[in-house]
Amino acid sequence: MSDSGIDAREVESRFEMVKALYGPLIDPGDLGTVRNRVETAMRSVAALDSVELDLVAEPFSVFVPESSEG
Amino acid sequence: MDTASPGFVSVRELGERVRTRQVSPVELAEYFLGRLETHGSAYNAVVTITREWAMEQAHRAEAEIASGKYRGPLHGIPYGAKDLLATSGGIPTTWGAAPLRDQTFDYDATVVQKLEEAGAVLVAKMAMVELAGGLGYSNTNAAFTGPGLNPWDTGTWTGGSSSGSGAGVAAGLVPFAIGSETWGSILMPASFCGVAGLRPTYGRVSRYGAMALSWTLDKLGPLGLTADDCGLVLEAIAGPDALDRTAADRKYRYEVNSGDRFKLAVRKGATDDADYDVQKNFDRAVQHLAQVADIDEVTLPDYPYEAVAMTIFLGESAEALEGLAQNGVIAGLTNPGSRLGHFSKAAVLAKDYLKALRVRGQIARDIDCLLRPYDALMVPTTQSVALPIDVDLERGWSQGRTDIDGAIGNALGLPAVSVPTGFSEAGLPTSIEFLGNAYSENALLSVAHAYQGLTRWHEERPPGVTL
Repeated sequence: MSDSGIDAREVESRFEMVKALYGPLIDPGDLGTVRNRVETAMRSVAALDSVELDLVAEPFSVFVPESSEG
Repeated sequence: MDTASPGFVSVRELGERVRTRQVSPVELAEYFLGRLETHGSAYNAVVTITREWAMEQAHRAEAEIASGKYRGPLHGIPYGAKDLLATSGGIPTTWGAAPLRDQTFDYDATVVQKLEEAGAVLVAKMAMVELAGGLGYSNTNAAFTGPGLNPWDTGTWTGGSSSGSGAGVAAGLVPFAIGSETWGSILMPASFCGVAGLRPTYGRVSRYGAMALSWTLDKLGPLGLTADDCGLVLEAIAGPDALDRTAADRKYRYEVNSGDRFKLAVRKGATDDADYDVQKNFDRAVQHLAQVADIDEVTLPDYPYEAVAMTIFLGESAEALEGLAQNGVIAGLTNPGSRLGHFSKAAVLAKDYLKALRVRGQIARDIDCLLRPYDALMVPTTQSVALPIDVDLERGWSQGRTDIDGAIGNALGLPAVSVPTGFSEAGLPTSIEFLGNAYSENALLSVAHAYQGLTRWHEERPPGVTL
């Protein structure tokens, strides 16, 4: 875990995933910028862990089944 | 035409002039089309001037009014629509993106349709940051129309992503404009350009026909010269829509409360990160409001607000824009930062997104309780005045500043109204934001209207702008 609260190995593994998905679309010279953005995104994700939730806390947007009968 | 110029006249006043036949819709359309054609490029504010469409609508409005069929305060009033709202008739809808310059739709966005039903006249599709800024951008040159140039000082930026909507109202090119906000895209240009802006409650206004960036964050709303004008426009565009399941099944009627004393709150620490001029003018605005309101200071519960909003945004926009990454549109964008912004979003996993949604629910309940006793929570709309046009948005903008209020308002879908509070020493506008509980637009507009009754900042005009 780094000082910023994010797991460096997780950043690397997700960056590798991004490269696997989009590598052909990314100029090799831009990979550093993309990696930095992955790290920034991971910082947001890590900050969510500061909130403790019960399992009854469901996602706010609940899927509503379609029904033509109303 | 009446000798009084229609430039920089409120929608309410213009509507009254139309109703009493002091000015005709055709004359108004010609006037604002002329301003758009003459001055629009000075601010990079316009994508398409819809002259043919506008004159057809204006003639129809004129005939209806002449025959006694008056539709209301927007009848015959010209407006601009952010160029992410679909329009039929072969008018391009570019989303600000160079590769989509020729994109057209065969239907109108519900907002455009509703404004037509209200008798308003579409005179222009307004410039915007490419793909609504959803990919990030490293500098202000992030649209094929060029950077949004601020009418108060064209060496500064309009803010984004509703850049042309903000500049268009501020420069008197349109009496009002429609913008969109996922996170800051109505309120920032309203603040930087010194006009009023209204971000409605999520679901208050149908999003059908608007470019989707983040399905649970996107909102459409007006920018105008006054909060009162924003209320008039909101009444026309709000309401349920069978084409958008998230549009709330609530009718909206704009009503101002001018009788009771308001109950307001200031967020503790609201100006800690603000520029000196922003802070000074905010404090003065709060003092003005003390004439008509009781004011408390409130402390927000401790949550990772920005992380919640950002994770939701990244997760949703990753999917919303995926097709544009795969078909090469994103590779053809103007801004280098925009061209790279999509890829890293895939690092957000489903479990991260769902965690953010769950935290959002908990925050929503707590903030609803916090705001319930108040008509509005007050904060500076933006912590700075308009930024230099050559600002480095990746390094030189935020300088460690946070946007807690933007994160709360957008993640929770809460309405907000922004109005000007004065100027910096350099002559750039500052603003105050009134944030409220869901569906509290009338309370927010009442407070903003009362404030604008106590001050004259909204009557100031950019010094270089001529009529």
